Amino acid sequence: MNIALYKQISDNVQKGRVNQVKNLVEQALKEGCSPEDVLEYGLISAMDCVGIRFKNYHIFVPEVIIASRAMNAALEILEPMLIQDTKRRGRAVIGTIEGDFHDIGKNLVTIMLKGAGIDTLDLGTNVSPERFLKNAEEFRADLVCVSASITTTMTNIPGLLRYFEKEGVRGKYTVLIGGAPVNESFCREIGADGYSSNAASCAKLAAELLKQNGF
Amino acid sequence: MCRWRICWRCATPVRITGNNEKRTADGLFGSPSFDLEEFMQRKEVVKRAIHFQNPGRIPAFMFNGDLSRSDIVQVVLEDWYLGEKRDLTEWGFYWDKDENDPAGMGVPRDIFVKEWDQLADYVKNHAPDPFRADRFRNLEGVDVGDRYLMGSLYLTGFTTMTFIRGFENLLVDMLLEPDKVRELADVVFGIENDIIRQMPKYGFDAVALYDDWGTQRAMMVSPEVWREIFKPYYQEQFNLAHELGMEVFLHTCGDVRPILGDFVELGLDMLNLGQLDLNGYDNIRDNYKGKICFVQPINYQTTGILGTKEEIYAEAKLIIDTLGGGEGGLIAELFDYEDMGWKPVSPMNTQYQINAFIDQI
Repeated sequence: MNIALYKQISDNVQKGRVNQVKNLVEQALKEGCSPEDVLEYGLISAMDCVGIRFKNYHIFVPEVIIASRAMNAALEILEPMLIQDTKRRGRAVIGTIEGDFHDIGKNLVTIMLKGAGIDTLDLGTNVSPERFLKNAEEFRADLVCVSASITTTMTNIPGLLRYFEKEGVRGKYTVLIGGAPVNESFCREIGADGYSSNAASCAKLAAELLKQNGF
Repeated sequence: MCRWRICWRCATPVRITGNNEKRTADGLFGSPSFDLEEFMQRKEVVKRAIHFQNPGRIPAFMFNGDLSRSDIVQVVLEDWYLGEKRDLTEWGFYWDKDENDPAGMGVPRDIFVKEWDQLADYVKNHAPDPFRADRFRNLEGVDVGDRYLMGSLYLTGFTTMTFIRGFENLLVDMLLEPDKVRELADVVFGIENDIIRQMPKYGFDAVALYDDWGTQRAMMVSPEVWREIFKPYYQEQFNLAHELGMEVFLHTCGDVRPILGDFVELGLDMLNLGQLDLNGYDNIRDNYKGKICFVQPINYQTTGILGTKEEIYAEAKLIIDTLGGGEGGLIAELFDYEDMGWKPVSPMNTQYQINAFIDQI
């Protein structure tokens, strides 16, 4: 294991240096490093650091985005070599609940999920339960992440869960909820699987839940 | 000792005397009427609150609904909802908006400046004309009376820039291409400033800016980046308004603790924090009370909509205890929740929110 090289990759991912990261990943592969190790020790470890620094207010959203972009550029190189998706940390679909057009928080969570190595499909805003399910099925998602930014639309989230139950797929997906008016007790009350108050902790929670499910 | 209030029913100044006798300036509520000069004009009450000169009561800024209740009249000077579907903005882009969601603003359907070399085309073909002839048409028919008149540019500065360049793009540009960000800021703040320059001749007391810098847990960008790129633009804008004899109101949502001191330093007159709690009541009281006037609502994401009467009153009390009441430094921002499309748990919540501020000073 070329620890020095992995550290270089990780440092450059954290600084968002796309070209350097791509060159270093190519170099690591040429030197015989496995794509799984490059992913784990170079890229994901970098984004773990980014998540911690973001959570502790040492860096902010722009720094997370550029790191995430650097990681994704490297993933494009590694992806064909990775055996299916087994080394990825699962898949998620994300969107704001039907009627809700406030997407800043959802965008931050998307960035953090991607940064945590979770394949994430952003469905955008105002997403109906039907569209959530259709995309979750097609994307083979493990997680469904839903946000509501105002009290009026928060009340639409239980409808999503009811729809999944009605379609007989509720047990197939881990449903995470968030947004300004949402809280832990609301999560318990409606029977969602997890709640997070911010983007960094959402990514951490998602990774933990996926790990429990064998990822 | 008498106290002054506004009668919410008719927006007439009412003096509450020691023996609970109600008197109004024009004597409508009883006799005998008394000298009008005894009354402080509502504009004066607002100005005294802004400058900590003992207004005697907390002025009310009714954002929507029955504006006769408000000490402040806000007139929007930019067009953000044009066309049959009310989805076109003066800034050239369309809102992707659900027609069944009156509370939702929508998100921009297109981004004009996907690449920076498209900025010149945006400026030439899509950007608003600050000098258009009907810029101030919304003033027509507005009964300002003795109230404080605020001209709102609605969504401004950084927020408007994210609509033109794209949110994620602009955040990354701040780190990687700050000079390009400044070029766009020159355009957006430049147009806003040209509108501000026209405002004094229409009698405006203040310019209102609505820009968001905070998330639920921190600022969107580092305070250093904010200071490096955006602070100079705010300085220029605030200075311009002050030179023209107007005060400045700025709204921001979220946790903006690191730059609260900067707003004081910039001479901002009224700061409207969407969520006071996120910025820490103790922090605000200990560090900023008496330095800047806060225009504060009951939290409309939580308590105002979902709370009981007691909870609404408790939050109002907390705000007043934190920021002060009759001595100045606090203006109550009030909403008609139903009119905003926010569906409160009780139809009385709008009234509770209004009364909560009145009853506690």
